Amino acid sequence: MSAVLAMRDAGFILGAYAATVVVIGGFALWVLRAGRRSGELVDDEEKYWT
Amino acid sequence: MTPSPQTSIRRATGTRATRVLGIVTLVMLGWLGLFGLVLSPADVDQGDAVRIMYVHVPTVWLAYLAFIVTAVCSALYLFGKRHSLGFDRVAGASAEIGVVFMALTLISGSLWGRITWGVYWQWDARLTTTALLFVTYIGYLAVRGLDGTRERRARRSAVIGLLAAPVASLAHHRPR
Repeated sequence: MSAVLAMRDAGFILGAYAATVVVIGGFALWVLRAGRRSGELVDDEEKYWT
Repeated sequence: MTPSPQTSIRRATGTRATRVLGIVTLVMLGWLGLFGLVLSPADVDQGDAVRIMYVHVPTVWLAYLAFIVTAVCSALYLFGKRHSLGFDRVAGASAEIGVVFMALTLISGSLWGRITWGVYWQWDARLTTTALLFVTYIGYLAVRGLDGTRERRARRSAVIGLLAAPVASLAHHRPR
């Protein structure tokens, strides 16, 4: 970890990785919540994915 | 408290295969961080800035792929015999993915530019066409939210989905 923090321009590099993880994670959570809301509108017998 | 089986079914959003894919994705993201930040050496020319390329390049290719799927599904909706709304839904979902990954491309690219050029942004052909592509597909998503019947919304979205495809081509084949 110290080697990572010691590399040149660590703030910009770690910022790029953090942004990637946060944005993809946030999008995945948004999709899951939207899917759950939509799933509640479908009868359980018609949920072929369960 | 453990949810009842009925609650689990009502809240479930994926198949066994998509759950496995999700776990594999998490593992690969961990591997990306380990490889990109720790295991790989610095580049001879770019130094440590090259580590940003390990996230920047995949995000832009994924965005391009998503926009291609949007264009193909738009064409299948418009020119298919059945005008299936399924193609319209895939086109819209794919455009959402493309916009998210194009935003990541712009963020990581500007951070790389700050290290390499000393500025976050330059109005050159490469960056400008990429920003234009991003704004174009935000417009596409905005049009999808307009009023109208499902068929009417699908038709005008498909037209814009097809018209936006050349912008993606322009951004990729920009003057270098």
